[in-house]
Amino acid sequence: MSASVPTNYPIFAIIIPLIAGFAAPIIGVFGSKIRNIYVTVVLGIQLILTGLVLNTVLSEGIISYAIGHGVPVPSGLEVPVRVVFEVDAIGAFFGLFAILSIFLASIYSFSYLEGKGNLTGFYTLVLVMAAGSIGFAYTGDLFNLFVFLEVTSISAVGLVAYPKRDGLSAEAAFKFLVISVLGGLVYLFGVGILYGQYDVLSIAAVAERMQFGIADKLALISIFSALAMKLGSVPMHMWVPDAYGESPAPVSMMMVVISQLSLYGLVRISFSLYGLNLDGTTLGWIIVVLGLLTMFVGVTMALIQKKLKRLMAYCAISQIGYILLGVGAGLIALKTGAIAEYGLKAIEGGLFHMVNDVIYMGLLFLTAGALIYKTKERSLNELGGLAREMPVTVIAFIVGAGAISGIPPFNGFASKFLIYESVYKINPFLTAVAMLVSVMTLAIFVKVFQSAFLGPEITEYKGVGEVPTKMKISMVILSVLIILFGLFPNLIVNEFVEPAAMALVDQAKYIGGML
Amino acid sequence: MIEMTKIVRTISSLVYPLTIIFGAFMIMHGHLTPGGGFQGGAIIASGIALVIVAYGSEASKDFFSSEKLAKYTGIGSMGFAVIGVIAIALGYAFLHNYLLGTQLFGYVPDGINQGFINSAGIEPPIEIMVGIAVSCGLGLIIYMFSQLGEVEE
Repeated sequence: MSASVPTNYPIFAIIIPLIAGFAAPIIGVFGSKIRNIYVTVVLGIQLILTGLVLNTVLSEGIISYAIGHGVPVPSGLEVPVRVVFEVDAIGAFFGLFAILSIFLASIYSFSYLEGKGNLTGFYTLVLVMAAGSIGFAYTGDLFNLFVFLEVTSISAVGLVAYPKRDGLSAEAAFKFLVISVLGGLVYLFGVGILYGQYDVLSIAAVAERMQFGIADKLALISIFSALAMKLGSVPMHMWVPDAYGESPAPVSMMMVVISQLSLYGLVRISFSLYGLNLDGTTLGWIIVVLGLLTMFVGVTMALIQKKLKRLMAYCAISQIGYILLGVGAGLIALKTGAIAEYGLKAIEGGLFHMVNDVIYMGLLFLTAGALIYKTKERSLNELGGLAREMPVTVIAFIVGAGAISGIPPFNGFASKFLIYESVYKINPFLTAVAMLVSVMTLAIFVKVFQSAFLGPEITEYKGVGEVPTKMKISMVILSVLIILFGLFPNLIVNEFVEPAAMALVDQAKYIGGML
Repeated sequence: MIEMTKIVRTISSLVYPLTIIFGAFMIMHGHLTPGGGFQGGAIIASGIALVIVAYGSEASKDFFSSEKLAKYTGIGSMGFAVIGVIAIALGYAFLHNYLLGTQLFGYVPDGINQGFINSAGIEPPIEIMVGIAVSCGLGLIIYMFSQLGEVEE
C-alpha cells in the first residue's frame, strides 16, 4: 500500500508549523508585515489540515501513522516499537480547536504586541507551540506524549516571559517552568514504570497488555497527578493565576489551550490506556472530588481579586472543574452499568464544555487584553465608564460573560446543561454545587462589567477609542462562534462531540486501530 | 565576565580546535559508536563556552554573533525536518530511511569491522543536522548569558 495523501495529513499538520517556526528568524529579516502574513498563512494551512484530518477521521475511522516506516500502516509485531500517531475522533476534534484558538490569538497579537521589541522569537515560539499542541492531540505513544508535553510547556514558558514588562512576568514564567518540569518528570517516571513492565510505549499496545497490578497503579498515580498539575486542578493550581494573569492576553488564550490539552491527555490516559481494567468508581470519584474542589476554590478565590486578568485566571480554574466533574461522573456511571446512558451524556457534556471553555475563556482574556491595551491599567479599581469608548469590546465581553455563567443562548449554557442533567442522576448534590458555582461566576462578571464598563466617565480614559481592527476581528469571530454553538448545540454535539465521546469510551476500537 | 590570564587564554586557544574536532568526530560517528548529534553538539558548545570564559564577554563578541548562531540553529532544525519530509515526497512515511541500500549510504556490515562512515542511510545526515542545531543552540544560550551584564569585582 502506498502512502496516500489523507494518511499524511497528521504529520504535515505537525511538520509544517515546525519547519516554519525554525524558518521564522529568516523571514523576520523582511520586516514585521511580511512576518505577520507568513505566520497567518502557516497557521491557516495548519488549521485547514486539522480540519481535513477531522473530516477524514469522521468518515473513515482512526488514522494510524508510523513514523519512519515504508508503508503507512505496518503489520505484525513491528508496530509497538515505532513512534506512532493514532488520530481518533476526540484527538482530531481537540486538535482543530487548539489550532483555531492559537490562530485567532496570533491575529490578535499582531496588533496587541506591535512595537514591543523584536517579536520574531515570539512567533517562532507560537509556531512551535502550534506544532506541539497538534502532536499532543494526535500522538499514540506514551513517550511521544511526554515530548510534546515538554515542547508545549517550554514554548509557553518563553511566551509568558517574552514581553519584558517587569519582573512579574519573568517570575510567573519561572514558576510555570519549575512546575511543568516537575510535572514532566513525574509523568516520565510513570511512563518508565509501564515501559519496564511491558517493553512497549504505544498507548494501544500497553493498554492491550495491561495487567493492572500494583506497579500499574503507581504509574497511573504519577501520570494522573502530573497531568492534573499541568491543567491546574485545585491542589496544584498555584501557578495558574500568575501564568495566566501576568502574560500578555493572546498568550493567556494559548495557555488555556495548553491546559485543555493536558485535560485531554488525562482523559486519554484514563479511558484509552487504563479503561478496561480500571476501577471506575474509585478513579471517577477522585476526579469528581478534584472537580468540585477546583470549581469551588477557583470561584471563591476569583471573588476577592482586584486585578482583572488574575480574576479571569481564577475563573478559568473553576471552569476546569466542570469538565472534571462531567468526565469523572461519566466514568462512575459507565462502570456502574445501571446508568451507563447518563455516563456517556456526562462525558459528552464534559468534552463539549472543554471546547466551549477554550472559546469563551479566550474571548474573555482578549477583552481583558483590549482594556489593558487601551488604558495600560490592570486593576479593576482604576477602570470605569469604558462602555462609551469601546462598543465592540463591551459586546464581546457580555457574550463571553454570559457564556461562562451558563446563560442561554450562549455556548456555556448548552454544555453546562448537559453536565447538570446527567450528573444529577449520580448525585443531586453535585448538580447543586455546579449551579452554585455558576451563580457565583455570574456575580463576579456582573461586578467586572459594572466596574470596568459602567459608571461615570473617567477623564483619563476620555477618547481612548476602540481597539485596532485585528484585535476586533478575533473577538468578533469568537463571539460569533459562542452564539452559534449556543443556538445550535445539537448540531455540534451530534456531529463532533458524540463521535469524540464514543471514541473515548470504546477502548477496544482504539487498540484495534493500531494493532 | 572578565578576561582571564594569558596562560589560560593560550591553553584554551590550543584546546579549542581539538574540542571542535572531537565534537565533529562524535557527530560523524553517531551511527557507529555511542554518542551522536546531540552529544557532539554539546561538546562543540563546550568549546564555545571555553572561549567565552577565557576571553571574557567583551572579546567574545568578536568571535561569535547571536544572529548567526540563531540562524544556524534554525537551519540545522529545518534540515532535519526537510530530510524527513523528502521521505514523504518519495511515497514513504515521514523519516523513512530511503537512503538505506543506495551506493552512498549502504547497510552497516555485520561483525567486527573498522567502521564505515558511509553507511546507515539517512542516519548520518540527520546526525549532522542535529549536531549543527545543538551546537549553535547551546552556544547561543551560553553566549547570551555571557552578555547579560558585567559583574562588579
